[in-house]
Amino acid sequence: MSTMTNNILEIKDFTVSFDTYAGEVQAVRSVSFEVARSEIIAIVGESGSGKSVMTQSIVKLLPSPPARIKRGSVIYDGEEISSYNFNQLRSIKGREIAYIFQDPMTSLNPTIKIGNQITEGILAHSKLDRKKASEKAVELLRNVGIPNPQRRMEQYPHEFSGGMRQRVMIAIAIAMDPKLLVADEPTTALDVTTQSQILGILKDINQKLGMAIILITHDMGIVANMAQRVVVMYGGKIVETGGVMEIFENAQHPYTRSLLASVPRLDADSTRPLEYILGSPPDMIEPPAGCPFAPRCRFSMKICVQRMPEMSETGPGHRLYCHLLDERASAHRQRFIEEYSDARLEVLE
Amino acid sequence: MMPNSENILEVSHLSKYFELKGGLTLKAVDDVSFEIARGQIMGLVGESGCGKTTLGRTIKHLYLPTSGSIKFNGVQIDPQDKAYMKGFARHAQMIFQDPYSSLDPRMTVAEIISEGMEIHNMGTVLERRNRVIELLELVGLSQEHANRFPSEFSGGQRQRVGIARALAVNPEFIVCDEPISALDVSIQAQIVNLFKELRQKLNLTYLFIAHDLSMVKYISDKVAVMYLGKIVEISNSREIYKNPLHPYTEFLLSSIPIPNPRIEASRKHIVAGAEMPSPINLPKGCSFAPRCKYAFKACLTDTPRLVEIESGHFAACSLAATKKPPE
Repeated sequence: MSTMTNNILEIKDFTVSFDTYAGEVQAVRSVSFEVARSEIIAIVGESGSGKSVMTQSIVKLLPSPPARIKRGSVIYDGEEISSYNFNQLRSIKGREIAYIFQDPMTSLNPTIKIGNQITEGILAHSKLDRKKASEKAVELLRNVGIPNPQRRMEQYPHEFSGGMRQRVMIAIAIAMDPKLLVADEPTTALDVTTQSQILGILKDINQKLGMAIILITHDMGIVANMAQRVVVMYGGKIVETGGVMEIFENAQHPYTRSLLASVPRLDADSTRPLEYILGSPPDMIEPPAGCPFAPRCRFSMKICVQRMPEMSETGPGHRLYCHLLDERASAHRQRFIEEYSDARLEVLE
Repeated sequence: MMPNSENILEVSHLSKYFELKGGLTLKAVDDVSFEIARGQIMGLVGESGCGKTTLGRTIKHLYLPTSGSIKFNGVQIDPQDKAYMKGFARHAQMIFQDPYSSLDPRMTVAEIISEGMEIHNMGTVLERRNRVIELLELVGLSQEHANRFPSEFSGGQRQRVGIARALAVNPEFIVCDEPISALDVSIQAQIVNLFKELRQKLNLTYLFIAHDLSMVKYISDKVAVMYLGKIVEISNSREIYKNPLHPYTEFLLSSIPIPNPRIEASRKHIVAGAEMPSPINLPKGCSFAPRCKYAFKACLTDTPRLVEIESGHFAACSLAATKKPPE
């Protein structure tokens, strides 16, 4: 990979559908975003918003059919990889872009010793012999905080707790020093205490190895703890993206605002009901022609259901798609601003 | 049942042990005592494996207690008393974590909700039918959902069906076992609001088991923290979050990421040593001691008892006990 661009990953107009008997499920609809080298970017949104499909389609992890990448470009480290076939992608998968998933139990093979599961990838991607690979695996396990790594190499996944399994998954993922790690809800199945350790390890890897991380989560606390930038997805589209401070303190899209308001916080007033979003996410077989959030949006206008809004940029790197930003909608926008003026996140005492 | 006493539930020295192969004993719940006042919501938190679900199920008598006693409405529960147990089964209901596996896929929503009423001979067929519709509306669904099957619903809607089923027999007390963990954030908010609203409307009392401490703080009046089968701290919810006395509670609270990047940037998360030890053959002393950064010699030998350290604020910690003002 030759040309040094500032971004490790650039995705443009990326569109992924599933062909099902019920029709074409338009899971990801023309999304564009980029990931800078060594940054941690969080992707948030409800289940079914397309976060996982989008990130897994970057290296075509989803079986096709039914998944089908309809159009769009994926530039990894300066190189267009969207046209790569399975064999060409093998040099990227695992070696350049690695993945960890939510459920560490189903991601590991229950019948193979942990040690062999780690060395498998190392042997496939490098020229190391079995002994060297095994030494490297021990080293990796130690790096992710697993005590007695030599002994652990000989054990099977069921002998590991959930947190320990997720550490193994991280060890496997970082074995080849990838430049980009996609962590898809890596701590959802874990306790808060274990979660905090796993997040610490991911942060450490990011800082020590300069590995960029795409972190998919629905926990705004994790976003605040980990990310430098945030991408908010809804109904297969990106609705807002910006720096973490911008998103938390100055979100301009009604969906982002309601997402933030529905999170209970330790400093929240428990006499006030939690805010929630009425209705349910759109049907992706016949997605709405306009803004996907319009049917549930308290500020929606006639235009919102008819046409997808254009991108607006309200600050450096802060982009969003919302008709409220049109100057003709200033009255509606005023209402939006007023309603959320007291909902800003106050600082803990 | 005479709703006369102030405490709807009084649990004293309750234990639930499971006998394992090889003569081993798993002390899932070990000498637990607390009470819940009528109309109160008590949150129960702790890591997975700490025994919080077992405690909830033992109170509901889905498991028989190994020892200890439970008073419900001032009356001691006697599992041998069949007639009493049938009444208890009606007055104390349960809502489960997984809205997918806790509803029978081959029953319609109306059948699921009215099954309890049939068992307890409540009303005529027509009355039950009307009650189902009333309940569906109460939990935010509608009449048209009555004849559908669970598979036609989303997770949040299924949980509403589970709530309607629990409410059908007019319970006074509900054990909610992680009722929102399987749901999306904005759906969680809806269900939690519903729980609070129903408590108000129907004067219900909940034991709310969860591992999401921010949600528990939001919903509960009182919070108990459980660790390896024991309650290590119990207090009203504002107090426990502001002034945790047990190092384990402090550790749990410190692990929650706060949704505010400014705070997170400067916040130090406490790292506790190792993982939770196995609840089989626990070592002597405080079971949190091997992970506790404040542990001293006595912690490894003496098992701390749950004592009142500040008014209404109990903790089982040798260190916290030394902070107790002299009487």
